[in-house]
Amino acid sequence: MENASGAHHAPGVASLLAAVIALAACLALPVMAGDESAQAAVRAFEIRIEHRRVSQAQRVLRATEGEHVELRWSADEPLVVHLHGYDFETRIAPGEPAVTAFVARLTGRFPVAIHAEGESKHRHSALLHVEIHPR
Amino acid sequence: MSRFIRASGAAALALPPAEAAAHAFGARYDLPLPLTLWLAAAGLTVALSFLVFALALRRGTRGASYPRLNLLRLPGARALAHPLVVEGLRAVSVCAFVVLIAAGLFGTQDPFRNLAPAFLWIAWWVGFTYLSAGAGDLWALLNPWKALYLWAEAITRWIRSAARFGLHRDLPAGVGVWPATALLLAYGWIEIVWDGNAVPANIARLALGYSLLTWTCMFVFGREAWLRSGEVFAVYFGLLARLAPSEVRARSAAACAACTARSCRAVPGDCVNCYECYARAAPADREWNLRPPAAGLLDPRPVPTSAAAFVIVMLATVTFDGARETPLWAGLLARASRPGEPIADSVWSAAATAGLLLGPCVFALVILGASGLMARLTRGDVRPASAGELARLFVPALLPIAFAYHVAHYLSYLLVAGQVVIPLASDPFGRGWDLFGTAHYKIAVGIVGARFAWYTSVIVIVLGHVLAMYLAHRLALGRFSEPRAARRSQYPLAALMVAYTMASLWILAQPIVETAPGPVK
Repeated sequence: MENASGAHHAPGVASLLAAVIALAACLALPVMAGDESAQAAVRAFEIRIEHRRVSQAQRVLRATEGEHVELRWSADEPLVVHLHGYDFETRIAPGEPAVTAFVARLTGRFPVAIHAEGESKHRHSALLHVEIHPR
Repeated sequence: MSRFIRASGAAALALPPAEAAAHAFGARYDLPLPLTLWLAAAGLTVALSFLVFALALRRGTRGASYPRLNLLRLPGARALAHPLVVEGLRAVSVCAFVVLIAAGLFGTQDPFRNLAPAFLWIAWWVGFTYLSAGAGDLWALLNPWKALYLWAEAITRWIRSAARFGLHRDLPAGVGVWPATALLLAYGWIEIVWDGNAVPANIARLALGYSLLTWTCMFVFGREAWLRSGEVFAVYFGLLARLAPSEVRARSAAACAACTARSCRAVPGDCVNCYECYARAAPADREWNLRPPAAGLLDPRPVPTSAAAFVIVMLATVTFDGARETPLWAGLLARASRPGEPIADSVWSAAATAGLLLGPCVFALVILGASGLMARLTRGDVRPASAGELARLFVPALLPIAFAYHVAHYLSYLLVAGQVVIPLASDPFGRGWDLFGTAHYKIAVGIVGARFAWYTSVIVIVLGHVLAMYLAHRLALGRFSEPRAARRSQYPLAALMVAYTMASLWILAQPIVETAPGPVK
């Protein structure tokens, strides 16, 4: 061990240590507060697709980890919707609503995209996003 | 991050590979940082900045000295550093390089069933970034271009013992790392903008073209000279390795005097991470040290302008890569397109190219502005400094913030998407092989959840910020004669660092908005 200037390191080391302790304290609070609602509830959304769009309020759907999520689709033209991440595909047609139902085991923000025949190679924004927040 | 990396998450989850490719435009699934955590992190950033101010400057340390532990004194580590082990590791690296090119040329061209894209963009480019900053300058050891060139040199010497390999033309002193900087920009464009970056054959052709360029330049200018100024990955990973808790050091004035780099000495007689000197030094003069993390950034000599530019391109590219996934960027693009219509490829590419080129200019202007202020505030010191000198001195201290942002943004993704390398290693060409019995490995998506990603992000970003502030303070104390001038010099820099950290946190608190390409068919 070679120590050329160890005696003068105290201030720097102290500040780093203080940083770590302060961090730990701040982060412990939300972690401890987080584990309250653990029951499996059903979270259902009625989603109407018109002209390949949904209403502004349905651009982001939020649910909590562990919930049973139901996406109840209806559309004005035949479509396939694809929930990325979970990787579910659901076929919808006018007058034939369909449901994507799953247990929200993965947390994250998952886009839903429309897959249809004859899509041109453009850059789409997603139809909507499903956000599964941790418990 | 390459669009391929973002896309691979979706493919990894889908069951039949063909199906996956048909729906390849996936996404990163990171949840934005919640407001409470964002506020906590922002508050900590500001509070700890004051703490560093209060503590680090009271009793300052000068110079670039730090405690180190020479691993070569331990028998186990000495065995690891044995030339046979090193050559063995190099052989493995060269094999991986050859397999990558062969997979690209002869394997399936489906990006999700070929090893080349996943290996290049996830395992190597992201993985080696973390390895370099977390362990040490391993690229200097494993670099396949360097290894193959070394072998060619050895064979030439073996055939004709007196032969001098290469032309050894001098690179003009002003060249610096400008060639590597230009190559880094080109690589960034391939990574972020180019549509064809996940096509296996393109990857193989690029690797072959780059090999030709690298070996030609090594032959003309000398191996080490080109590794230092033109081999972009050697420069990139070498800079990141300044953050690492290990170094190699040669303690021999004679070895240093013969070094083709005129400025490899950190302390008179000591060369840190200069493998040319290390190779030339007698075994007794060699050290392989453990050191405090980021001690490599305490070098009191300002870096050359070209190296500062290289670092600025690094910082700007990483930040831009995150910024272009924010709703703000998507909104800008939407404004450039006709309302209601999807964003055209040309608009997307032009905007990304512009962002890639303008980003470094904006960073450079902001840094020069802060340096100008620093120069003004320290005019009273016995040793005043110009804005340019201060910028070149302090720019490397920003690296911890950039690296922390990189970890925050990509670690959870690397851990999930990086798993595709496991099945692909068994079937690199996509021909249905199962070399290691892992071809049917299924990616475990749940190994990192949102909470893990959030807390890692916040902890790493705040620590990176504190580290950067601390380094800058020590550099300032070394540069200025009076502690008062050193302290005054830190006001603009601290403001810059707080703003940079806040910008990184802001990007993480934005929902990722994909302006993803259409289905890969």
